[in-house]
Amino acid sequence: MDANHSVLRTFNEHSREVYSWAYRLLGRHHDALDVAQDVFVRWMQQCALQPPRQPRAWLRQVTMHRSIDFCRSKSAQRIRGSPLGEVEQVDKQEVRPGDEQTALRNELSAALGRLSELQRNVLVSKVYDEMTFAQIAQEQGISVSTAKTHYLRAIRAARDHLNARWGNEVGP
Amino acid sequence: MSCSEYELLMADVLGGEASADDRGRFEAHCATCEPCRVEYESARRTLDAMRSLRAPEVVVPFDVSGFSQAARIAPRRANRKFGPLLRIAAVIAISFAAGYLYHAAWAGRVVVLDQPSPEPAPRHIAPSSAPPLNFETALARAHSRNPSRSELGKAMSAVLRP
Repeated sequence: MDANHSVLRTFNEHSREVYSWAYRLLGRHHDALDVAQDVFVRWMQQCALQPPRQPRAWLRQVTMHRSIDFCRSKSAQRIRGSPLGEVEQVDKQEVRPGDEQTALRNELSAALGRLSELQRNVLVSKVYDEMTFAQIAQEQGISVSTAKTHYLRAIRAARDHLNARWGNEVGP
Repeated sequence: MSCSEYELLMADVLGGEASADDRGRFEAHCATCEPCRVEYESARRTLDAMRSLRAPEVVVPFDVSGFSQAARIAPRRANRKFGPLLRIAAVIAISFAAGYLYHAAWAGRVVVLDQPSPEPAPRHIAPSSAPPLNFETALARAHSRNPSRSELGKAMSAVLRP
């Protein structure tokens, strides 16, 4: 029963954060809700085996994974708002007027998917959670200078990916 | 100092942790070093792009304290080892369902900080006319139909189906 209370406590403490992380990449309430639910199901399964020492870091990592996978699976599709869920195949290169936010989300998701686990954790922790380098270093078990180095590498990798897609809009 | 020695300083500046003196030194270096200046500006644009994807301010009640009764219900054929997990899953799934319905029914209270997206409007379910939700029954039925699929996912689908 203590384990169950622990799961519920973690859920109450972090569910909104998980939803927020997912929403940043997915941009849709229902998609973010789906990913958040999936993350907590995995959390329960993980706790049944071995509870993670850093719940928040674990949840963030899995949320990013699931969100990136979700984006990947939908990157070539667009679901119209019809009741039947009509699916339209869209060329990956095509960006329609008004879809800039969606395109940015997709490309950033792809860029984050290319990073190493540590780079992604550091970058997301810094940009979206506004953690300090010291906090990130402590959470990830690395030095502050290593955290800074990974931060810069992650930014450069994301920039290079966005440049490859859109030219020099976000880079030299 | 060489450009490589300004790397960590750039991280502090980009991360908003540089002191005024450090920032001044870095800016002075960038004023005389084109590659570093270009590197910094491209990194800043990339971070701005990431920050432009904001999460909405959504008032969704993820508090599960009101659904403790659902935790006592378990499917008949549930594996005893994962019986407690299924109960917790039911509790969490109900809270997500409540969050979904809350968001749909009280959409006016949702404040979205980012630009309006082409996301289709959520299907609104009027609380007063919605059929009573019976998650326990949905969970049991989902399990009996196709035990190989996720009971939680099927029960969620049954609950959220209009």
